[in-house]
Order: sequence, then structure tokens, then C-alpha cells
Amino acid sequence: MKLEKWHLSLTLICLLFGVLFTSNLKTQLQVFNPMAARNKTLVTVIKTQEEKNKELEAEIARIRETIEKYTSPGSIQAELEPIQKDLEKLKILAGLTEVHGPGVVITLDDQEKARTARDPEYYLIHYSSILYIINDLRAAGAEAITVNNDRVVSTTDIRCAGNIILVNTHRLAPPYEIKAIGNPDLLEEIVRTGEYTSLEFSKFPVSIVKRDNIVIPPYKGSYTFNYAAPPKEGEK
Amino acid sequence: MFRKKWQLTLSIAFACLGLLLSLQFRTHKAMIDDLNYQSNETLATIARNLQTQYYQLIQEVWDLRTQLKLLEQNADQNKTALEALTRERQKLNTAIGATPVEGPGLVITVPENEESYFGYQDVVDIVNELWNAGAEAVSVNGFRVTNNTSLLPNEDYSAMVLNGIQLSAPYVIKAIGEPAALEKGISIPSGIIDKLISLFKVPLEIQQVDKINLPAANVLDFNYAQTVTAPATK
Repeated sequence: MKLEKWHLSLTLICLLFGVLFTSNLKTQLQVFNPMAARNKTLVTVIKTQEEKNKELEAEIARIRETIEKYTSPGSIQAELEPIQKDLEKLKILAGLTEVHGPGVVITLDDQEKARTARDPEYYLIHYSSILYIINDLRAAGAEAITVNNDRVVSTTDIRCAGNIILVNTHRLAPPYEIKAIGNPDLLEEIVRTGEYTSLEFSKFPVSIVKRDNIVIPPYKGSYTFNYAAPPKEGEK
Repeated sequence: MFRKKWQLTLSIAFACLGLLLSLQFRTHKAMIDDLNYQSNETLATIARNLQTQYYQLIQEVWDLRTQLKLLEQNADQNKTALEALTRERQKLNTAIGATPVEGPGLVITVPENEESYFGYQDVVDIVNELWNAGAEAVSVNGFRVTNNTSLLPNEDYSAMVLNGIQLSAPYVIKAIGEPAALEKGISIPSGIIDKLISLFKVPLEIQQVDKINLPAANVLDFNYAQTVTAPATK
């Protein structure tokens, strides 16, 4: 009985031993089996492909990093925006946009006598009358002014050549219509204290009307600065 | 003794078993990791997937390169745009008088004098004449002339008032521009300067200078005038 017990154990171990050994041998054999050899090509393909894909992934990471630089704040794109915003406002203030609002419309015309008089000078509207009325309109806080639809800006000059009045070097013909946007009451009040009243007094056909909505076209001329430059740094 | 013998045999047998077990385990582990031990189908699937991924990656690289190229072109354009817009901003700020400027030009001085009248309209006329002569920026007694600048007489017409500030002699009008052209432009016969000097005997002094500094004016925003697209500027 006793002998049989250890016999049994040994038998069991031998059995296990045998099974494991065969299994192990089988595994070892698989390495050298012809099927595995054929797979070699496939494995090479896979390894090469993996290498290539890795390179591409590295390339993608590189490009993405560069793209990041172009789109991050602090790029030129970000610098552009505030300037564009400034310009939008500046264009309005510089008279480069059409504007509308309340204001006054003043009309000035030559006197009938100008046609027949021996000395028509005294019956014609002169450039200076327009110039002084514009000055008065500016004093009344006019924000946009036109003469016969020619926008008056800071650098606008008004002069005459013979009997022709030029505004922004454009020839104008009577009647002269001056439009101004601003506080209508104030505009009329100030205008009536100056040149306009002198013309009225001299019997020129003039009129001033307050309007709720006047449309003023943009300045079509140029702003050219060849001599006026921003002061250099460190100078006062 | 006998009992010892089978014990020895059993021990050897167990040792061998352990060795075999560990060997088997190691081989098995290596097999899982190594492609060489995969089946043909598995390998084919892996290869196919890698191939698909490869083409997708190439597509992505292509897309990104295109995007980058556009961004680079854009950056060049933006740089050009930035320069152009900065210049335009400077120009418009100069135009409306919102920025100080310097340059060569002309200084017209009207000293205090008792004999001849020199009024606010004369200043308006001189400034107008200067614009006509090609002035780029003008100031009157240190105040930059803008589209809001006006001159009015004071109550008893003894002095002139520029935008609410009373001025007093000497009146100094400065203009930036080509000095000779400015002087020639304002000195035309029967022009305002000619009239003031020869007709009204105003002791005017005109001086060409190499450098004039003009301050910025306080430019007011519009309250009444509105654009079609945007409301009045704030």
C-alpha cells in the first residue's frame, strides 16, 4: 500500500513531465516551421511600414508646431485687428465715409443784378463768403460740411479763379449749397451772427433751413503728406 | 534508506518539472510579443492596417503642408497689410490733426501793432491760403488747425477767439510743407498776404524754416453725424 502511494506520485509527475516536454518541443519546433519562414516577408513589410509611419507622424508633429506659431496671439494677425479698428474710426473722422444726421442747409446765390450791372463784382458770391460761413459752422461744432456736395475736410481750400469758386480744386457754380451736420439750432444761431447775415443784409438771395436728416458724401480727394512726419523719438 | 531514495527521485522530478514549466512560460511570452509567431492572417491584417494608416498620414501631411503654405503666404500678406495700414493710420491721424508732426515749412508772424487792424477773418484767410499753397499741417498760436478749428471775434472785436480760447498778438501761423512753394503760394498778387501787406500795411513777417513742430489737437468724436454702417463714433 505504502509502496503504491509513492508510485502513484511518480507516475503523475512522469505524466506531467511527458506532456510538458512534448508541448515545449512543439513550441520550439514552431520557430523553425516553414510557415513561420513565409511570414518573414510579411513581418519585414510590417516593420518597414511601421518605420515609415513613425517618420510621417514626426513630420506631422513638426508641421503642427509651426502652424501653431502662425496662429498664436502675438502673430501679425493679432496686430492687424486693433489697427483696422482704429482706421474705421479715423476714416469717419477724416471724412472718408458718407454720414447723415441733423443739421442745416444754407444756400447762397448771386444777385440778379450781377447779370446787368456794369460792375458785377458786388453782386456775386465770393469765395470768402463761403470760407467764413464754413468757419462759423465749424465754430458751431459742425461735424461734416459740404459745399455743392464737395466734402470740406481740414485741408480743404476755397478760392476763386476769375469769377469761379473752387473747393478742393473742383469748380463750383451758383447757387452754392452748404450743408452741415451738427446741432441744427446752434449751427443756425452761430451762422446768423456772421458772414451769412452780412450777405442777407446786402440783399443776396440766401437761406438757411434746419433739417432732420442730411446726407453728406465722403471726401473724394487725397491726403498727401510728404513733409509732415511724426516727430522722431526723443525729440520734443 | 529506501524511503530516502524515493524522496530523492521525487525531488529531481519536481526540479525538472519546474524548469520545464518556466521554459514553457518564457517561450510562450516571447511568442506573444514576436511577430514571427503570429498567424498569417494576423500579420496580413496588421500590414493592411499599417498601409491604411500610412496613406492617411500622407494625406494629413499634405493637408498640413497646404495649410502651412497658406499661412506663410498670409503672413507675408499680413505683414504687407500691417505696414500699409500703419502708414494709413499715421496719414489719417495727420489729416485730422490727432498726432503731432514735424517738418520744414513757413512761419508767418503778425506782431502787435496799433495802426492796422488784423482780424479773425484774416487768419481764416491765411490758413485757407496756406492749404491752397500745399500746406500739410497748420497751427495758429500753437493750436493745430483741424476740421473743427474756427476763429471768431471776441465780444468787442478787440481780439480773436480760437475754439473758445482768446488769442493775443503776436499771431503766429505755422505751416508744414515745402517752404519755398508755401511762400510762393501765399504771396500771389492780390492774395490775402499781398492785400494785408500793401493795402492794409500789416507788418507781416514770413520766414522759411527747416523744422517746425506742430502739436496734436484734441479731435472730437462725432455726436450727430452717423455713418450708414456704424453709429456715431464713441
